[in-house]
Amino acid sequence: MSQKEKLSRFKRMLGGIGKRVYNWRETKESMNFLSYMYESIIWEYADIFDGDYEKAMDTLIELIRPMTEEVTTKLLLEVKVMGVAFKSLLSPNLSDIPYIIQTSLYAVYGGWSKKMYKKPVVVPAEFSSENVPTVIVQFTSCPFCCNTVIPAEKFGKHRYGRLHVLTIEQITQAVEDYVGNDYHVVGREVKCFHNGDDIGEIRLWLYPRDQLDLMESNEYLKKIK
Amino acid sequence: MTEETKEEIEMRVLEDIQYILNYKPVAVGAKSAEFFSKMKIIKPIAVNSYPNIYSDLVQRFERNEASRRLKRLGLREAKFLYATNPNLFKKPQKFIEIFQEVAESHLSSKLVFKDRVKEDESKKLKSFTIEVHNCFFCSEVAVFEGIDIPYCIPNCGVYENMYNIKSLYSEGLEPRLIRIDAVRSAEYDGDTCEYHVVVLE
Repeated sequence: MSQKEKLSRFKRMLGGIGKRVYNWRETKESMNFLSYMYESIIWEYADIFDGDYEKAMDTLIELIRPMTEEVTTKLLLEVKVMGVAFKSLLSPNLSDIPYIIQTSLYAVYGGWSKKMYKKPVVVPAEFSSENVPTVIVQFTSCPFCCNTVIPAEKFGKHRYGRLHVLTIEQITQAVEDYVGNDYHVVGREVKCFHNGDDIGEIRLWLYPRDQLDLMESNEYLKKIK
Repeated sequence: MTEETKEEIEMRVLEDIQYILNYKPVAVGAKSAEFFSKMKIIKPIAVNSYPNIYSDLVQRFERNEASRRLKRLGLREAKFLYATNPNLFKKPQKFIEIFQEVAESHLSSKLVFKDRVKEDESKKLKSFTIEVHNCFFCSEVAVFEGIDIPYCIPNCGVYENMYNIKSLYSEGLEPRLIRIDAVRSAEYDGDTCEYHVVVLE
């Protein structure tokens, strides 16, 4: 595990207050409605591509990724709560990633983040079968896929909750870029209720930019787009 | 936009009712929409996927077809909402309540109903205007310049189908069917969107 400076207790406490104030003051929308919109957009693009859901998802990811990058970066780097910028609560130490992800998820979903997500876990590179630091985010329910009627097989190598993964992937990428860790973050939903798993699980692999060739040996990346 | 005929709307709504009655989610372990009914997400994240979808559909299709597809996004959302909330689907509601319920509970918007036009003799409602405050899609988004398709067309679809599905299912509501078209979308902070509602008789 990295020996870089860890977040102090005081900063963690500030983050704890900041996430609550930010979520409280921000305009919010119904999560169900977002999930209906997501499902409807998938139907629309599947229609455009003559029922090819995998191609529809390829296109949607390319369309949604830039905005997700922009919004999550803005959220982390520009938002200030009571004069304290979120970015001042970021740390280059990988052991702080679970705290940063949890704080970000709370800022986005409020108290529901605690009902849905288990505490993220960081697996150091030496213990990871992909040989790079790995973050595991598990969730016990999923507001994205709970409403869909599209069979999982239709998505080919995609998983239904790609939008969900993109948000967490981009939050982590923005953090790593800001703190100066030269990682390329790649996320996949390796377990999904939609595919019959009894828990949801997102894995984020932090590839050092000078070792991107390690991605070729990642079995998950071969199976899941 | 090429207008759907009354018969086409009726056929589509009846198909939607069939979808709702036969609805079976496939990701059973993920819990249900009822479980997440009180869950909220901050708006910047909720709407971040839409601007590029809007601009892609507008570039991919000619104006009428793009408008039709954008509105269809909302028509489906209403169908999904009823399918996953059977209590709301069966709940008896009056004309205006149907719009207000979806606006307040799901879209965090406020609606003002105005410019009601009635038939001279029978005094039956012919049309009216909905003014939308704090539109789900528009209130935090930079305006797309040079595109004359209202940005929040999907919302029209939501309101139209929320009403029409309930009307045809409960068979007691007056008017029986409506069509909603977006007249304009909000262009700056504090601005409002405007939809025109036509009664189809």
